[in-house]
Amino acid sequence: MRELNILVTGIGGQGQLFLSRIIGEIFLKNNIPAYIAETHGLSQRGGTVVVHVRIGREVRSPLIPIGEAHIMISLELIEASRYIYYLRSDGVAIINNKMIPPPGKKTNLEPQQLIDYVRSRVKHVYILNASKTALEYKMPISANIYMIGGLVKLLDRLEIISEELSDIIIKDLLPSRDREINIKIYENGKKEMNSLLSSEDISDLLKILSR
Amino acid sequence: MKHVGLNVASDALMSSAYTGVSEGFVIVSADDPSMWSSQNEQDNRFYGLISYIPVFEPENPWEAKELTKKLYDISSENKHPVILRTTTRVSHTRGPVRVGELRKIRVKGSFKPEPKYVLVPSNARVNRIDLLKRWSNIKTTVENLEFNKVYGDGRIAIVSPSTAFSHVYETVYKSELIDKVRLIKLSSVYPLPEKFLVSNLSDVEKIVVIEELEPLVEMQLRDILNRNDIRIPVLSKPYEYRVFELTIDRVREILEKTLGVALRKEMSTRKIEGEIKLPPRPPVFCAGCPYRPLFFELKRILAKERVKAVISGDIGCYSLAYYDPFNMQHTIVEMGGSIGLGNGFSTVLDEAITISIIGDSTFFHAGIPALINSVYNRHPQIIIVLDNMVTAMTGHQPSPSTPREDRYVKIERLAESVGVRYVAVVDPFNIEEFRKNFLEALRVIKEEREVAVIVARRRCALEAYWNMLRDGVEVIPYTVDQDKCIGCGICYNLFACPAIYAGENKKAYIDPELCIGCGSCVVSCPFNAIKPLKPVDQETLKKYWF
Repeated sequence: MRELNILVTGIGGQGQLFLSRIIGEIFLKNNIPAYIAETHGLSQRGGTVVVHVRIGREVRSPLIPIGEAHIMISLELIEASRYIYYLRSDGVAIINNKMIPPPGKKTNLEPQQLIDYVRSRVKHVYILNASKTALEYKMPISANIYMIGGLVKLLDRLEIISEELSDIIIKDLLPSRDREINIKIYENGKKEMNSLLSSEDISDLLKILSR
Repeated sequence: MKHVGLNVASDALMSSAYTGVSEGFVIVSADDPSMWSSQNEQDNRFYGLISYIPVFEPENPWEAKELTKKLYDISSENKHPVILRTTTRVSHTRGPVRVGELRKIRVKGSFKPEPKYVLVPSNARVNRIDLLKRWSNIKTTVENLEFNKVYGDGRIAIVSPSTAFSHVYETVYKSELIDKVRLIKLSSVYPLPEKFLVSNLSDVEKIVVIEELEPLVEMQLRDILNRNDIRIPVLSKPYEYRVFELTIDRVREILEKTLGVALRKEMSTRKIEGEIKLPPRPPVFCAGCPYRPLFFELKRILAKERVKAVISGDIGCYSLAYYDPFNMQHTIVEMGGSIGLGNGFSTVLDEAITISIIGDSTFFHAGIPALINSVYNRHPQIIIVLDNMVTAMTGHQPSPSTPREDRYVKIERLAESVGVRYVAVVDPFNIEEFRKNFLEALRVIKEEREVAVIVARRRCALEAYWNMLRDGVEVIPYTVDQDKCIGCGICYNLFACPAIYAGENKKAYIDPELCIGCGSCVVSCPFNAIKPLKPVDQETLKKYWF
């Protein structure tokens, strides 16, 4: 792995940092260096949060250059749209199907409008039902775990990392409380992502991601 | 500490260079280019210059660890303090670190009295002379620092410290400049390793210095070249790159502008067709924050009573009340400055009353001397101390108001003991009680011309919520009775909890994913439309929320 850039976006409190840390740990355990740079400080207070995850031996700077992220994982639609310019146009956006309007701000945006916008900017867009599923399991804060499932499946299908090893690492990192239920949410994320990935997608993505 | 923390500690910092140290003393100053969470982006490397304390910069987390170890050695060998200066992208980056053996930590020591520790003028003069002797040794020490490195042997030199070097390295190695440049990575930025630089720069055609914020390395480098009679052009980064942190994109721009070249960019996003207007998302009070109902009610009282007020704010979570929809606090300038500024406002303003807002940890940090001034000099202002019993904004470090065994400093008793005659303690969720006490405080400042203190106390919601999760206590979200809701928007526009949003017909909805079941929104609804999804055991809740 020479270089893989993953941008993680969402709203403070949705667990982007934990998600990013897990991605980093998975690659480190595969002996591939990873840097995780967060925007911080006020990130717990419902503000916009961006985390830069940079993986690979040719990476030295912790920040992803504009237009050079290969993958974006977003826990929220407005925040996905806000930072879409970081993503290569032939890249992948994996987005939680959830829109959270900023409190106290008037907006007429509809989720579909944002999805269309993202699709107009990026070739591969996968909308996952992370929040919906997490809520069904009565674990609303675990949408991030679902998204990790989605990413792991993608990286496994692209043969960048193995799903089996990732499963072990993730189980290890999940807090013991609610571990079983979180693993179910994670498995659901993998399953949905798998159902969305066509073989054309895979061969297309291999061109940009398997370097 | 962060950069502005060193301002507060600067008195002691200056003296530490005079007394010298008997064991390793490494001061970590974490600067914040781009002001991600600060009031300024001061370049703390300048503290080195005014204090004669050497300054070092690591490039990444791994190097921060290695350099820290080295600096302890440098500090103990030279008997002198050192500054390890990091910026956002070192402090807030996770990266691989190889764990070595821990040195044995000594927590007990001895103190041998010596005149140098007593900074009366006669001793300080001696110290000053010794300090300069130590300084000359330090200048030699940095010449051989293995963290200063040279890459490549082209004729264009790029000199760069810290994360700026990471950006430079990656930009150059992916560009057509790769064979033309010589990269000089600097870890010792004050003093500069003069001989090292002279020997590595004397045969280049030009030098570009790329560093974040101020041109500290550049200024010194120009001086070194001048003194050594080396005439090589030094190219500064354009003025607009002094502001904000550097990135690969900005470093590429600097190189293009200074060297007059066009560098290829690997990939760009598809051309933008039809942008979309996105609402900004500034940070807000968390769901359940005790400050939300307080500011909601304070704004209402001031409007209803037609009270014109200057609100002197401070640094903490409550700074967020400056933003929509509360728009409260007219000044926020420094940690602990609110009450002092409030004293000034209340002295000179006749057409408006003065309210100072300060959090518990900020109050303990620097609010107490100003409170004593308020009492002694009779400054008629209302001071609201927002006591959430922890230092919430920076990550829930304890404050003296955090109960620890039997220790807990009660702000109201402290205020009474320095002579404040009107002190009230309220629960910010109980807005009736707050209103009653605020109106009384208003009377006190107007009629008695004295300071009044209101302590608004309730635990930080995040802590209460985490403890409930930890103990497996069920969190019952609230919901809006759609038959009662008329869509007035008070709850989502003015109370503005992140869990409440406008749905169909402008009616309010509560997102169960974000609601933490605090129930503070109930009082914001004039139509009593907000209720818990199922009955809540108030007694259990109380255990967590107070």
